[in-house]
Amino acid sequence: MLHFLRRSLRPAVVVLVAIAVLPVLADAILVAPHALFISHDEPTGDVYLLNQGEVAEEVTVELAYGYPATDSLGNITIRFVDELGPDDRAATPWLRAFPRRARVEPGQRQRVRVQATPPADLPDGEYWSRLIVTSRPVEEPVAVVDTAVQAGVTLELRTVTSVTYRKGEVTTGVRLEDFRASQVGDSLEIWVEAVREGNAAFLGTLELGLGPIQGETLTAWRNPIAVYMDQQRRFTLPLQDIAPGDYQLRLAISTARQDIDARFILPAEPIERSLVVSIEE
Amino acid sequence: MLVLAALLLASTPAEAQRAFSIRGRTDLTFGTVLRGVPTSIVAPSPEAGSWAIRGEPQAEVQVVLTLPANLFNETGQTMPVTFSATDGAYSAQPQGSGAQSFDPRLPLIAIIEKNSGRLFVFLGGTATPNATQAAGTYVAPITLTVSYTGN
Repeated sequence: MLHFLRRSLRPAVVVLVAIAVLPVLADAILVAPHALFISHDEPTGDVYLLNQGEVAEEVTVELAYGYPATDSLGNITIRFVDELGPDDRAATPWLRAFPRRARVEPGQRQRVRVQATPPADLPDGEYWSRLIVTSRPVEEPVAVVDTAVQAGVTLELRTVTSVTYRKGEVTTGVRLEDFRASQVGDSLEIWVEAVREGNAAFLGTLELGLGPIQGETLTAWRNPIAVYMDQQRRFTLPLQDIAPGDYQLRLAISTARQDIDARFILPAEPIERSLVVSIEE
Repeated sequence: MLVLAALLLASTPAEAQRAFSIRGRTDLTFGTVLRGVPTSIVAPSPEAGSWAIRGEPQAEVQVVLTLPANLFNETGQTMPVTFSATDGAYSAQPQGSGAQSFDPRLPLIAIIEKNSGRLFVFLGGTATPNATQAAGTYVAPITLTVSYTGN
């Protein structure tokens, strides 16, 4: 009987398919800080990589030019630029990160030094790059699912953080070109067009609040923003809990940031706007 | 691990106080499949791939998955794998409760949970062995890329 069962089941045991992945419960590389600032006066800075997992990780470090940008639908994305135009402020050609490759043992910390050697005639202003840290386990993990087959997996995890270089006088600001909202189904679609001013990226916080025209905010949304180039951003606020009627939508943009050291936040005039929106059933 | 993280943060400059990490939690595993029978894994589920992203609470991140079109065995034979518009999911909860689906073929913009500082991403998919699929182990790499959009 057992023999019969084995013969019957054999064609069914065809293949084991596994995809992606890491050794289970293995942490990848922690990267700190998530925003590195260096300057003409201090042209080097350090990023730390910590292996929180249980196996050694092979880490590669690259620099690429990119920044947050919006597409035609108002979605935010990190845009990487290969061919530089006249408006690009790329630090990547004269930044170096080393080591570019390292093996980081479990619990070990690896320092990555970022060094700038800009051209002598570089105009004052801010220049940008992205640090891309790619990690994968040194030994390819093998997951044994049954005695007949094994699965090897090769997962890569990639964290992208910002590198900012400042020289001389740097200023920033943001100008609101457009702020409008309309109901789309059960959501409120809000468009915010922000134009960057000065020679540095605007790092701050954008807040949206919806409430009665004379009353407290019912629902609010708050998010860090970065305006490197002009942005036309679309936000969507759910309206499920909002009764039909007229409401005031408030917008505030300021340089308030909790996640970046205040020394690196450039001052800028805050912006506050509001408009009335009608919510229908 | 918390001790290690604390040591790191205590020994780095003030600007290094904020960290960013991704953790692989579970494999996306189709297991044993039958010739000619597509096998699908939904997300979130115990068989789905899952990752934990840890970062600044309430920060907005972009998550990009680089997905394969095929799985390969040791001899280079292929098996198609596909991902639909609802094969991705994300949640503030590690088990995926209250998860929202997303199209893993497109970039995901999501917010890191304000209390825990974590965001969980799940991936399902469909493997389609053909009727004469050779036995073996079929695998493929996936790259998960996470970026802050706010700096």
